[in-house]
Amino acid sequence: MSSSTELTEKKVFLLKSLDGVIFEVEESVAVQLEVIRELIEGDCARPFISLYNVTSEILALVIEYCKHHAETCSGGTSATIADEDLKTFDNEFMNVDENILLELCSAADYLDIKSLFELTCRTLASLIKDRTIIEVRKMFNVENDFSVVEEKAVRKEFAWAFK
Amino acid sequence: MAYNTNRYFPECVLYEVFSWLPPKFVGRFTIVNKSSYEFIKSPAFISTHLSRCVDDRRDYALLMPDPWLGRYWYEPCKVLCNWNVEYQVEWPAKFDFFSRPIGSFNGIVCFTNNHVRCCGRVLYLWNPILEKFKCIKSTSFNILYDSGYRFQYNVGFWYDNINDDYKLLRILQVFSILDVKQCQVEIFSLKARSWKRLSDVEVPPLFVKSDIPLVADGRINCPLQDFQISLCYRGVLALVVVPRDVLTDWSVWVMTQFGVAETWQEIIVRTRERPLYVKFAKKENIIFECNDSRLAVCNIEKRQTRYLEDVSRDGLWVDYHETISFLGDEDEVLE
Repeated sequence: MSSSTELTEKKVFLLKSLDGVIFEVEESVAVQLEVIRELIEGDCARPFISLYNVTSEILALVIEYCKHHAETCSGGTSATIADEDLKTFDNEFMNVDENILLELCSAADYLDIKSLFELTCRTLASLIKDRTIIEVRKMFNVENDFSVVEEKAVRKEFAWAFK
Repeated sequence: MAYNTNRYFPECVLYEVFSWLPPKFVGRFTIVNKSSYEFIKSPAFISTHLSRCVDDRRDYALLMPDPWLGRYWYEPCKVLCNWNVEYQVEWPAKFDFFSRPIGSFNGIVCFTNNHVRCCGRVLYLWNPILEKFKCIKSTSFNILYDSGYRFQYNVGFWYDNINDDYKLLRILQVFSILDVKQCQVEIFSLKARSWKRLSDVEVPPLFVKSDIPLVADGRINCPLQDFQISLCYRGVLALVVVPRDVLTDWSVWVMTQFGVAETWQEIIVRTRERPLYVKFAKKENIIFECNDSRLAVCNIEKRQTRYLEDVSRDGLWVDYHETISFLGDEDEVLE
């Protein structure tokens, strides 16, 4: 049974990062993390939610991002102004070190935040355009599982791209 | 740069990142690893990628060499961005030399051979950047005509987004000295890989009712040879009707809901210039070539026309943008 006081007060949730730091977030922010929304709906969000894949440094950034998006969307401003505002915020938000960007992307995937995932992937796409294949493999920590012969065959198949 | 070697990225991360890359880079990154190679060639990735490159609001065009302007067939095609040459594409040797573009959708250019006697008979669908093509030589027509008769093909090309299929419309008319003798209409579906003949057409009333209601019965009352099928306006089916009578305004017919004949709408364009060769550009613009071979842009919604003074028209052009459509497909000749 929920009392009337519980209904009016803002719900907060506690998120615990990999390195043990606990963050307090409001519901409007928390529900943007699809993973957490599911936990809330399943009533599994007490006393706190442990996020084993995200460090406190990255989680702080993710919360900052979600907070800004929640505030801008709920504020009384018109849709076009809110859109412009989010664009500027997103651009500045992406102005980070490459490693942080990769961490953010991985966190957005893990926490299932669609807009942040898309934003980080777009930014990474513009970054890797002038990188070599070897650099891209290193960046995403993937191994070349082609044999020399196989790689040659793929290069031949996609000859138009290697001109 | 030193990267964290403990970090693990699931396949969906590379998938999303690559889907934002221009085609050339997508092709190059197929050798990152086997899973990238596999997903890049999947229809799901190709369509995700397509939905992202359509966002590019710049005007692209492909300029093909025009033999009538003294250009040779072996000259490369030029890719223009906002009417400036960006790069060149080689004309594949296996194609017919004299070619006329019909239209383009999703980065696929449709063109036909341009020989006077068989223009429209053989059709090509080509993705220039991937160098992939499909050649369509088949037909369902069974008109028998004597050598004394003149004949004419009209061809339209569009993308049917409801069925995710590329379609072609072909109309063949056979003329005797005095009149149109016979006329047949057929529609090609790339998915079905075949032509389907529409019920035979009476001429001159344009199209008859058919199970594919392409044009409403009797709605466009002009003889066939007066319109150009130039199919696409804001992603919907459209055609340009230019009456032979120079005092009558020409117009654009737009089918606002695909496949529903009742939704054909006429937009009358009032300009002094008669279009010779019309193509649709992005947004609400159409580009056409005037009798004096100048290029003009007409904003259909505002009904304003301006000339592209600084654009030299030294080829046959078609609107275009780079995509990876046909990436997973083999080159094919359908006979």
